[in-house]
Amino acid sequence: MINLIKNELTKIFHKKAIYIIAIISVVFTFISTGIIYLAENLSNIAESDNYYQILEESLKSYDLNNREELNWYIDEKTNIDVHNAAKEFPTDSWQYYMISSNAYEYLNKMNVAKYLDKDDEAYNTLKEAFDEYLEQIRNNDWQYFVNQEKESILNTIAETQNELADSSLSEEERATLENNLAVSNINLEGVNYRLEKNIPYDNSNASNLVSEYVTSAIMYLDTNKDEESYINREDLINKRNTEETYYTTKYKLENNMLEDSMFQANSLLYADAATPILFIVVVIVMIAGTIVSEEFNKGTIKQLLLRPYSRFKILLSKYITCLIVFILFILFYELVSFIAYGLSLGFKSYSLPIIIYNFTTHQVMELNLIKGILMNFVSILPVYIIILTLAFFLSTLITSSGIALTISFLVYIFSDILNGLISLTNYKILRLFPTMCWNFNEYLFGNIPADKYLNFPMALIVTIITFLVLFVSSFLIFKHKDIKNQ
Amino acid sequence: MATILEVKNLNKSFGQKKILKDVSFSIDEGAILGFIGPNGAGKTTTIKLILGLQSIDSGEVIINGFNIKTAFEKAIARVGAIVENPDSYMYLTGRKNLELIANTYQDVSKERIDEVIKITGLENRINDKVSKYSLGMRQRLGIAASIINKPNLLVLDEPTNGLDPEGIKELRDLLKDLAQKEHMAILISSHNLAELESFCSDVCIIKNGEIITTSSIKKLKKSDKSFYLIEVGSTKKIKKLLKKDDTIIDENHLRVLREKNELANFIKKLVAEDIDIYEVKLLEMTLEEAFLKKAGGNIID
Repeated sequence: MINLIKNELTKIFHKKAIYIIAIISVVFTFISTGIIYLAENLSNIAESDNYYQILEESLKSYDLNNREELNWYIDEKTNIDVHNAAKEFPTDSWQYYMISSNAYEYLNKMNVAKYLDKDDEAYNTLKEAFDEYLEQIRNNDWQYFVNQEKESILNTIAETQNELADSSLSEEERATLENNLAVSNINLEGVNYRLEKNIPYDNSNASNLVSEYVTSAIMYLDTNKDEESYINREDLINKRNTEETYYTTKYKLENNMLEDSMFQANSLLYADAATPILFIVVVIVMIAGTIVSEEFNKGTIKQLLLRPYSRFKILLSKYITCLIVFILFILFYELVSFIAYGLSLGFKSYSLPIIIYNFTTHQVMELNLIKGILMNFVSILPVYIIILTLAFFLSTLITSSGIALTISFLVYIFSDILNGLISLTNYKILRLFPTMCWNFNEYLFGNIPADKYLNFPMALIVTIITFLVLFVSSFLIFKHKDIKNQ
Repeated sequence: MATILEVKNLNKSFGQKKILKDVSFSIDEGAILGFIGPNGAGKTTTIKLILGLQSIDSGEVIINGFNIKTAFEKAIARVGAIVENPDSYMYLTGRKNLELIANTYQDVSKERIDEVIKITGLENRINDKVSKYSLGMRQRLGIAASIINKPNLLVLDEPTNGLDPEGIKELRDLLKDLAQKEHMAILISSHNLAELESFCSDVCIIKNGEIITTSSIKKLKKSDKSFYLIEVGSTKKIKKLLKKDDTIIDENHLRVLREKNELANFIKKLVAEDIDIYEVKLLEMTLEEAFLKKAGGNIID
């Protein structure tokens, strides 16, 4: 039996097609990670001096006597001024980020005073304030700005508390104020994180993490209700997403995982494993769809069946071979992705764990990268296995490689569209369709599927039955097949 | 001598159509059985039933004492065969093809592979891809593959297809060798008796799914009777003079099977009966007809 499997592998790996697909997938993977790399660095290219020079040239064409064009002129001029003010600092510095995001307000007022109101006095006052602001930035003291915000938040809190002390407030007003207070407290938390963990306002992961935490925490204030009370599935899913972001960002902040982001190699590798990969599906369909039918087409089936093995063993060895090739290509693809992501985003993150929120225990957990990828892989394994077994079944039934390949591939391609259409309907019976049930990724870590009629036990039973029907009928058909005369 | 292959009362239908009717024959060790019949007679179907490639409706195939239906793996273990075409994997080399087959047996050594390559004269081209082979070379590769496991039953379905006269001669010598030296039983099918006649020990004729007759070539060769066509004035009074294999064709013609001296006696009798004789003509016969004549019938038409 092992020799039969070896023979099948020899046949497969002597075909050119399989190497062509492998090469295409390598090229494709490197191109797509290259695009991610470019996207990460594209912002810098857009903000190059060249771009602003051209913008400055275009300013000359504006007619300053036309009110509308003047407004545009002021807007463009302000943008240029912001850039000119910021470029004093390196693009990845906190100063650059702060000027880029905050200086517009100062400079716009100044330009309005100068060009629209033509009020030199006002302009000078505003310019003084702006120069002071720039001076503070040049001091390289970002804490100054954070403390400034902290002070203002503390003021708001104090004010809100004062207002709440008023006993004549209506229920509604009280609720609004209490909500405001909660929001301010979250903002305060964010500012405190910045001070505590040395996170200036900039474009770093850490800074984004704080912003994300604050945003999700504020949203979670509204959505943190009993899940039973959600009527609309979409709202429930949104609530869960908010909950997940809130807890994971908080966990990362508290455990100093400040560099952790979606755009690092380990996260991308983990996320990739959560959806079936087209390249793998192509390989599966190509191998399983031809492994039996081709022997019939080429007449070699006769030579194969004359060997001292039962038909069951011969077919089983072919099925196992498909599984082996599938696993080999998954490993190959993971290796290629590992290298491609590592080259474009750095290999360092591969040693870091994946942060997961578990909806059953309501706890954040750290997952080893390999374990995480494996869990994702196992959850979508039924998709691959069903497609593989379908192609194998058709290959045995029809003994036409073309038809077996086409049908299996179409089933996969249209499964998403079909599932989308089924999800739009309210017929529970349609949820029993295998493609609705075969992906278990949505159930990982206590999560729930987007379709409210789906549930795990049902999906599992449907998937197992689908597999068994295809698998068993392949063997029955093969066992009783007469090798037709030519 | 041991019986290697025994075929008993095989029946096979495709839908309503009966393809084989009670086909029976057997082959002993060292014997070469020529399996003759026109295209569509059921030769390939019979071979496929023997090899377990198609299911048997009723009847039995016993190879080396094992029933192909119930003990397939044991029955097929010492069988080599080419069915229809010598199919091999075109994108692999000849050697790789042989290696794949060798892998499926436990006791086929590397030396054995080299040996069969030498036997079939493929040494020079064995490392080329099969897609570059001529049909004759593919036929040789098929034979190499079918004897690689040292079978004691070799089944060849129309193996002379695609071979030039030189190739056919080589094949004959090879098969004779295998039967004599290795005591193989060989079943070889063809629609052309002339091709097999020189080296088969037995011949079995099939038509419309039925075995018409089985006989040894020796018996066939002993025969020196011939068919003669005789034109006479009237065939009415002749009936009493006829033997089993003679036939009256019409009022003026009859066909008789006689040795030369018997023919002279027969003509004398006709003369004695006062029958006019206009013409006596020796009928040229194919080997097939000759075989049938010997086997006692004129069933093929």
